[in-house]
Amino acid sequence: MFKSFLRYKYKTALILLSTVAAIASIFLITALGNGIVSMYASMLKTDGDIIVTQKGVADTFFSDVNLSLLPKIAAIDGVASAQGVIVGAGALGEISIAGIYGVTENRMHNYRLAHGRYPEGKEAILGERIAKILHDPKTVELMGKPFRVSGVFHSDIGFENGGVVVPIAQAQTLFGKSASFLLVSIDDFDRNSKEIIDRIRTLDSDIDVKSTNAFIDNYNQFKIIRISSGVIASVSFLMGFLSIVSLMSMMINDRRYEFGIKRALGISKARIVLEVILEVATLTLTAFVIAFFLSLALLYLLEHIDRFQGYLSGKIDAVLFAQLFVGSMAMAVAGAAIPAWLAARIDPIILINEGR
Amino acid sequence: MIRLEHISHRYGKEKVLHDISLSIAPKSFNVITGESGSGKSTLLSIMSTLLKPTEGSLGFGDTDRNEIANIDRFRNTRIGFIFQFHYLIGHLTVFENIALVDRRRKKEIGTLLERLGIQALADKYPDELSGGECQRAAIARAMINRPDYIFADEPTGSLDSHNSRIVFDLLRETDATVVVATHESAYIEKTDRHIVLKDGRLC
Repeated sequence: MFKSFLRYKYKTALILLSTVAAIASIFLITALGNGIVSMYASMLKTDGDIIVTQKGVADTFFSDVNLSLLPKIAAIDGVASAQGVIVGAGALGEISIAGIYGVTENRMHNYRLAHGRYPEGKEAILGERIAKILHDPKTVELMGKPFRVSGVFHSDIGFENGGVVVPIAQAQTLFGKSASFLLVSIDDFDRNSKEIIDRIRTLDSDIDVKSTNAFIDNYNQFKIIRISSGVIASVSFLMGFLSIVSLMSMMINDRRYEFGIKRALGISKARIVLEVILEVATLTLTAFVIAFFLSLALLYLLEHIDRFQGYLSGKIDAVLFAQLFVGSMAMAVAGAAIPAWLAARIDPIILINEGR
Repeated sequence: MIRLEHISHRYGKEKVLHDISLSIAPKSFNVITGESGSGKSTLLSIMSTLLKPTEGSLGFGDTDRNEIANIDRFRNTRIGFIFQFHYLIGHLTVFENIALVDRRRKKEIGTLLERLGIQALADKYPDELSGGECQRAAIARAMINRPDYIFADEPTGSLDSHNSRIVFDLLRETDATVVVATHESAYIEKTDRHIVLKDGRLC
């Protein structure tokens, strides 16, 4: 079996490379798409059980909720805490765009203080990644306004670690809004959540109130990212499939002579097709292993390239790994078996004469 | 016995064989001659089951070709085909090419290669052999299963007189029914039956 790999070195290498490229692109696109969704979802989930956004505004970047609702919400029975958050993006010194978060009482639970202290007044605290990129500055310019750096924090979430946090009052000035959304933590979610959500709804007719899980499941931006990455991954999958089918067809056509001789010697169609499938399965398995480790390396690089500020963070989970493994093997087997089967059905002498 | 009844064959619109009917006696040595393009190779391919005729029927003994349950097994165990050019598979050694037919016959392969004078070439690849050595390896491949029927299409066309003689003697000595398409007079002189084709018809 491996002798034919060596016999058709160039084409074998082409098929291997094409398969590696197809599989790695699916790994990367899907992992990065999922990474963006999971980073933002983690930010919201860990900061509260209930989210309050502006009614009818699908994107939290454009949502504007009245921050004066906070004490009323905090006073509801069963509410453990409530906070306001402004999520925005703007120029940070020489960096053209960075995540800027305005928070009340520094209640973002996803980060821990690396050094310094939480900001007050016209102060900002930088994510570890952005602090490193800016070489631990004493002051920064946020959207053209100067802020003193009060400290550095670490967060496992790339959007936060590559961003900057300021007191919400400063973010209100920068972005001209009261709050992007309010996050509410409650004592017993399973028992109280529905009642508390209903109570909050009565406070203002211009708000939407949902559990953060329900919000994440229905958040349009996530849906768009998921659909986009799904479509792009499917297209790269399809292109990989087509390239494998065409390369395999070329390889099979080159081997019509060999198949013809084998058929003339009484080797069955099934055995010829099985041999081709085994060859392709071995190739695909090799390509899959290479693509997997290549993707891991590229994801690591993307996450650590300063230019991307840690915003490109993707993980290959077991489900994606399994889906792609099964899909790749099926794709390769179908791509090889069909042309091999079609060729093996032809009369041996015609195959020999055509392939001579 | 091989029976051909009203065999015709077309390649696209071109009819190359016209209503051929004949029978070949068991264990006989038969030669087909005819000018280039007369249909010798096509007739041989049809007789050897490597090509389905457009019309007519082919039978081996009492069994029609279409009634053979496993045509692959039939080819593998009962038919040996020697092509004009050796048609060995380039990425397999001489031994591996012969073992494609039956990988269990290692000892017989050695004996046959010795008889053909190419035992030292068992581990060589086809591109390391001369034309005559390749053709002898191809003959070994066709004969390793001791087939009932051997078909040879210009088997000595690319060989010198010495190698031609070796091939001829091998084919003549076998117990199988042999059908050879050739121009060689040596074959015609010692044949049991001489079949002549002209423009796809029996003369």
